[in-house]
Amino acid sequence: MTFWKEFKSKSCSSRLKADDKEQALEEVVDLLVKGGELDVDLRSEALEALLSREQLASTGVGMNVAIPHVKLKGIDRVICSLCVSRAGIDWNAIDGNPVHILFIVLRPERATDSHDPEHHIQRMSWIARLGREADFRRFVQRANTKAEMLGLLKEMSAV
Amino acid sequence: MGASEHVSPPDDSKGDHVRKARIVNSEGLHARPCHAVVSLAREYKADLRICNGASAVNGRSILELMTLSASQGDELEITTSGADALALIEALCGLIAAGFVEND
Repeated sequence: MTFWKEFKSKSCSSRLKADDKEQALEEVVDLLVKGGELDVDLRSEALEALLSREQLASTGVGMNVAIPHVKLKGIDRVICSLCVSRAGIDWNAIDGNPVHILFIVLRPERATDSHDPEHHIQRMSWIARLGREADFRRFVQRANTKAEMLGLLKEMSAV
Repeated sequence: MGASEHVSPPDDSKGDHVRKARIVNSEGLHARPCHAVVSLAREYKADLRICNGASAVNGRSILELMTLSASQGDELEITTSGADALALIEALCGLIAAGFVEND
């Protein structure tokens, strides 16, 4: 699969500024809007959905990785972002460790011409395989540019 | 005078336990159920391995569990071992049978 293609440079960050979870999600949503991936009219809905998801259970899956992901009404294709926080963010993660690497996934509520819901579990599995790779985690945190980060996604997409 | 033979009852709480459990919730073993499995496992000391087809992973890691891509209808093979292995496998099978208590 070529899930790496769903991550656009303008919607990613190698240096998130936020120092808490709420600020981080807001920063990411703003990146998606500025990057032209998410309509500005959906900014509030996207942020609310991501915050609500965190209330159900933290998306901090351990190993310094979080995967905030929600269904969002009003989009017709999957929107992704990869962000790194150098300082680390308290995410109430399952292992208690701070989150440095964020994979954000917004997906349509229903199937569309450009979205097959059957791919969701494979996409999440692909992200999980990357996240559990110590090499990926180490390299992505050292990446100085978004191009380097996206290059890693592509290079390691066969993990 | 014959000494009575004392046979210790088997200690079912230790050793390996293996069971199969089918995924019943429509969304499969996605992130939230993985979180539920790991949260449950962390209440016990036993080791936990979960297998879906040819893939076997550490059941105490959300990232590992997510790589299984287990969908509704898939049959998982669960293996627990250690001090409270039986209690863990029973609790886990209950969680899976309940669809991870998801309303979907």
